[in-house]
Amino acid sequence: MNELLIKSRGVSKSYGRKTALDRVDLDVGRDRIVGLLGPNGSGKTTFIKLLCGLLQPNCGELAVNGQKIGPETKAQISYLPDRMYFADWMKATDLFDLFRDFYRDFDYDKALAMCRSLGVDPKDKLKSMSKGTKEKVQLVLVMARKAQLYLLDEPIAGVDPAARDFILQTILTNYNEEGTVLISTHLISDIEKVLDEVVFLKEGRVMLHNTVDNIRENEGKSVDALFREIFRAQPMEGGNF
Amino acid sequence: MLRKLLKYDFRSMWKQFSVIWPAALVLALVNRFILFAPDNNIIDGAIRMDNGILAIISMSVFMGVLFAMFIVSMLYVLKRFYRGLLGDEGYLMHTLPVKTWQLVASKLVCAVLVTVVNVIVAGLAMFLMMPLKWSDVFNMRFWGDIFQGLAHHPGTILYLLEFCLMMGMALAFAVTQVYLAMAIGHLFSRRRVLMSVVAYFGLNILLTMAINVVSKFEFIHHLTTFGSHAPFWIAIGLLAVPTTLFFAGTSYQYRQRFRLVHA
Repeated sequence: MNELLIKSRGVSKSYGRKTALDRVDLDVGRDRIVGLLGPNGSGKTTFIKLLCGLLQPNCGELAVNGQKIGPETKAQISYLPDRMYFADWMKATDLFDLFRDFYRDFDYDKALAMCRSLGVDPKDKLKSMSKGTKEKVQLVLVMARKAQLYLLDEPIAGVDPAARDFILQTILTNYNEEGTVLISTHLISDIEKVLDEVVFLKEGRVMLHNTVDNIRENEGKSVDALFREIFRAQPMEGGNF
Repeated sequence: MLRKLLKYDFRSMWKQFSVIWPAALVLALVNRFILFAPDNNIIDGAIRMDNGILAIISMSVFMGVLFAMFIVSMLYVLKRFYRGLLGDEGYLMHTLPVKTWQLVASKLVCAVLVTVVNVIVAGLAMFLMMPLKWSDVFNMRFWGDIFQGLAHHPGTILYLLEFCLMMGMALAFAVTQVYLAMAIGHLFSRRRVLMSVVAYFGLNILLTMAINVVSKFEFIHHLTTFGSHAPFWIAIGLLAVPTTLFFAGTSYQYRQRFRLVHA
C-alpha cells in the first residue's frame, strides 16, 4: 500500500488551444477528506476525469496508489460524475448487479439498505425516477463501495441547502475511512466543516494546498473567506460612466 | 471481464428485442392461418381467399415488423455504441476496471449477434408462414435422412461452417468500419456526426484503393485454385485484415484520445 494515494507530476491537459490543466504537481495522502476548490473553468473536473481515466493527460505523470491510471486504479476509485450515466432500460438493482460484478468492494446489502433509508425503491425503472431520485441512486452506487479513493465531482451543485446537508451526511456516514475523499465544488461554505485539506485550482494550476487547520491558523480566516479573497472577480476599470 | 460486459450488453439487447422477435414469429403464424386457411383455394398457383382484406392487412403488418426489425437492429448497433461508449453512459463504462478493447469487443459481439438472430428470426418466420404440414416438419425419418446424408458428405457441413464464418466476418467488418468512423468523427470538437459520416466514406475510398492493390497480386488468384474450400478461407482472411485494423484503431483511439460527448 502506497502512502501517497494521488501523485501528480507536471500533468497538463488542453482541449485544442484551451489549456485546462497546466503542469499540475500534487500529492494527496490517505485517510482524509480533500476539497478540490476553484471557480468554474479552473480545471477541477478535468483533474478528476484524468484520475478516473476518462481523459488522458497531454504530458506529465499521474498515479493512484502508486499505479499508472488503468483498470487496476479504476478498481480502487469510486467516481461520482456531474451527470447521470444510466442506461434507460435499467433498474437500480441492475446497476447494483453490475457494480457487484465489476467491483469487489461493492456491498450489495449496504446499497439496498441505503436505498431503504433514502426512500428509493431499487426495483423501479430508472427512466421513471425523478432527477433527485436518480441522483440518490448514483450516490448509493458510489458510497456502497469500500473504495480507496472517492472522486466526487460537484456532488452538491444544483440542489437546495437541505439536500446539500443530506448528501454530505450520506457521504460522511458511508465512506471508507481508510480511503480518501476528493470533493470538487465551488460551494465552499457548505462543505468547509467536513474538509481536512483543500486544494485551490486557478486557471489550471495549483495555487494552494494546505490543511484547513493550517489555513485558519496562519491566515486567521475561514477557507471560504480565503477563497473569496483569492478568486474575487476584478471589475473592469478605467471606464468613465 | 469481457464475459461480464457481454452479460450486460446481452441484457440490453434482450430488453430492446424481447417484443419484436416474438412478434415477428407470432405474425408469421397468423399469416399462415389466414393465407393458407382450409377454405382458401389455390387456382393456377394463386391463392383465392374469402378473407382477402384481412390477409393483406396481416401480411402488411408482418412485412412491416420484419422491416422494423432490421431498421431497429441497425439503429440499435449505432445507438449502443454511441450512447454506451461516447454518451453519458460512457461515464459508467469507461470507469469500469476493464481494458478499452474489451468495451469495444463487447459491443461488436453484441452487434454481430443481433444481426445473426435477426436473420434467424426472419428465416424462421418465413418457414412458419409456409403451408407445411406439422406432421411433415416433425417427421423424424425425414430429418434422419438429412442427417444421414450430411454424415456421408461431411464436406457439406464444412462448407456450411465456412460460409457462416465468412458471413460472420463480413458482419464484423461492416460493424468495425462504422465504429472506427465514429471514433474518427469523435476526434473533432464540433460536427462529430457529420465528421463520422465523412470518415465512413473516407474509409470506403481507402478500402477500394487497397482492394485494387491486392487484386494485382497474382498469387491471390493462384490461391483460389487450392481446392474448393480455398475461396472461403481467402475471403475470411481478406476480411479479417481490415476488421482487425478497424478494431485496433477504434480501441487505440478510445484509449489514447478519448473524450466523451459532454466532456
